[in-house]
Amino acid sequence: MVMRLRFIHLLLGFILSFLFAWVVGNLFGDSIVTYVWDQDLDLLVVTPDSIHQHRSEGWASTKVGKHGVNVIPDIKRLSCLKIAIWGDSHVEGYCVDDNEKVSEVFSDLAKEYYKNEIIGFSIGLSRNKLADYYVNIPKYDKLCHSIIAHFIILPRLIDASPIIKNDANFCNFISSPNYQLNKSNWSPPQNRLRYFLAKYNLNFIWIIARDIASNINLRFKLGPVESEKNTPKHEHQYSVDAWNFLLTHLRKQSPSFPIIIVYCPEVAVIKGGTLVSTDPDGKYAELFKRACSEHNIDFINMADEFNENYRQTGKLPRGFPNSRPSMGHMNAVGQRLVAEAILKYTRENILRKVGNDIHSN
Amino acid sequence: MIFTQINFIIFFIVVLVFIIIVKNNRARKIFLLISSYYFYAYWDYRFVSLLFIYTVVNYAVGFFLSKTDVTNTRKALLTLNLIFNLGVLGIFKYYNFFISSFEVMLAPLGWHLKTLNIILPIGISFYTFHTLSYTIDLYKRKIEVCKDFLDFALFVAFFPQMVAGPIVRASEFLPQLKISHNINWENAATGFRQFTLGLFKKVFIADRLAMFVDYNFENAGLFDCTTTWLAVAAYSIQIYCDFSGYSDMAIGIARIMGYSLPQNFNFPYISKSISEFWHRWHISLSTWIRDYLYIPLGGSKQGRIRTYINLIFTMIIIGLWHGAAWNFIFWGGFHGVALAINRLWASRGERGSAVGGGFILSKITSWGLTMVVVMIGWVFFRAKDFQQASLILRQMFIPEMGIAWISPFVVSALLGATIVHLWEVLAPENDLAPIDAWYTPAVLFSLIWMVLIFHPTGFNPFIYFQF
Repeated sequence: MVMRLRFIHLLLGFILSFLFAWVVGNLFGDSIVTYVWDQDLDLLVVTPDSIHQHRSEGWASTKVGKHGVNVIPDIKRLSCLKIAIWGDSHVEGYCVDDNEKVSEVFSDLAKEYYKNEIIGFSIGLSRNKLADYYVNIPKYDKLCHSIIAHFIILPRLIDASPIIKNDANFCNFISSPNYQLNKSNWSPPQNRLRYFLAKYNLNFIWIIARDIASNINLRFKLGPVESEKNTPKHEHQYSVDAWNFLLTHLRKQSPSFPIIIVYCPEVAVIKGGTLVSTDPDGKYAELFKRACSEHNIDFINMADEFNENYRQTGKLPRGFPNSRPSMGHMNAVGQRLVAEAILKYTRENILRKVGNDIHSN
Repeated sequence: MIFTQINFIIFFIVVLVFIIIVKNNRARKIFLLISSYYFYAYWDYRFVSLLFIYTVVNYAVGFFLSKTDVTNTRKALLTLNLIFNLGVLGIFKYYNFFISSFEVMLAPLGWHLKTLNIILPIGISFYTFHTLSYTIDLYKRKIEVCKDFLDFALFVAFFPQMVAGPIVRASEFLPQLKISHNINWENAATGFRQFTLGLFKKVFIADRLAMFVDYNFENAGLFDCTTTWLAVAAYSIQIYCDFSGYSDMAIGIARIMGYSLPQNFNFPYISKSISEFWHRWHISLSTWIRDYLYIPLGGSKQGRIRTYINLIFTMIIIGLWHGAAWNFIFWGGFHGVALAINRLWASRGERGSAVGGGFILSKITSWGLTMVVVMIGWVFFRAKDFQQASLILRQMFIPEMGIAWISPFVVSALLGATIVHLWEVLAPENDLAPIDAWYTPAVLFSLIWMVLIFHPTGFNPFIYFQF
């Protein structure tokens, strides 16, 4: 009798704890991102009409629209002028709420000058590099028709360099035997499993499985363990030749409309006990800027804006209370600063208002 | 391998299955010894020989001590044993520290000693104390000699407690090895409960707090006063959960196998005096130091001034035991002075009488003062050097402008810790998850889920592994 009671306690305990984990996972865990094939774009995008909840960094929800565009339900249906904002996870913006994302802030700010005649929309995917936009810019140009400029958010200069491992999202930029741009067929790992778990809000199981898979290190061999040699991820750290090659091809992808690279370095960042305001890649950024201008691509360096904003307000452009201040993804402050810079550039270089009409340059 | 890794879980399951299947006590002990040596070699096989040498030397000393009643011979044996144990510990742990610290003084004498490229063997501070407790108790005739080499070797190398405690006395553990321990439901349940609580404290609380604390200390002085106080409070919880969590896991693992290890922590943060704190914090170390150092020095029996000196000296040794660095020595001395002051205050008796609300207020004040002293001590314990410690303390007490960072998890952890400790104060007889309650499995499984879901990425070794 006692043994039977104990087994029942264990079973009940497991069931109750499973329910508890389900609740906790849904409240405090990141939801699972699932992907579908977009026929119009001929690539995988985040499942439309899904809501992604992000809790690991920041505390936010993102409503996903069609064609991999956040917030806007269907970008194809909007007839107004559009600014496309490209990027990686910074532009994906899962860490900030929809109204704090760079594209939404831009659209909001632009209303003051242009009412609803122009909006910004963002296409971001974690791990995107500069070469990935070479593949995707023409697809969205064809989809939307009224894109008048492409802004590419570049958080690191290294994202413009060739890579060794062919694991890019959409385009592998390699340098051996010579510079090449090879299209890549990216697919998210375990998409079917993601779908199944997402359907029943079992994101906590996905979190556990993902963490175990990425951190498991089953070693039973005796120590000591030799430390792994650091293999460089990028063959050529910074090469002007590599940049020229990539920028030449990138420029061709949108011949009629401007491409602007918005460089968002890690400045106003806490490192080694001080607040670092200098970009360690600053001199390379100048070289990159020169390379961009040679290819008719404009370059905005956000370093000064980030530093000045910190000096004036004490607010850092990156980091969240549940991560680390100044590190990680851009927070609402950083997103706003970038949106303001994009708007300023758009007003000064792309649009001029004539009466009540808006004409592009 | 550490207790929170899957490798260890697999290892432990194998050990457990063997113990369940094999009923013969001797066979079990042989397997446990092999497993313990494998556990140690998993870190670095080269130091298995050191562990074996420790075992052989201490066993031999014990053997010879049991064979003679001549006082001088026994003294000589004990002295040699102390020189060996503390000498090996000193070379591995303190040689470089003393050379680099005293280089300034030695250089004018023409002595230019070089530091050595030494790896600190994991757990050496702990198993040195294990073996010393054996030989000293044997010398004092408090225990009988352990004739069985297998038992003694297992006492030294027993994997649950070898690398980070609790520090187990020979008198507590050796008798357990003589009896065959069958895995039974009660031990398994009790052990599992303690292991799970320890796992939760270490992975969910301590490792996550570490991310906040590390960043604050690395960038000491940049954050504002509130954030800095939060970081120090967070470290207080982190080190408690890290160390007591490990102890709980070690005790739980041993209990599952049927062995009993001493409890190492007893809610130290409800202490109302620094003296009480040291009765509740790292109990196995503080009692070891009390019995084998403080009391032999005279304890409190040789007058007030000598008592204070003994207290301060003993605590400095405790600081030094924790690490070969001046901030640890300072931390120990700081606690020693606090203990001396506490003793002085206590010896002057109660000032007036406090009843009712006044009594409660007095207790709260005592508790608050104790916590401030302990937290200030932790600043020195955690800081990499005095400069970092001074930056932290300055920001705590002479605040300047800085970056504000109020982490929701840290605040929640502090609130949770407060509630748990309040519960202990107000209802000490009521466990939050008693072993025989129907809901305890649900609580324990839920804690495991929390550990799995919110497992921090990156490797966070146990803090006390470095000692």
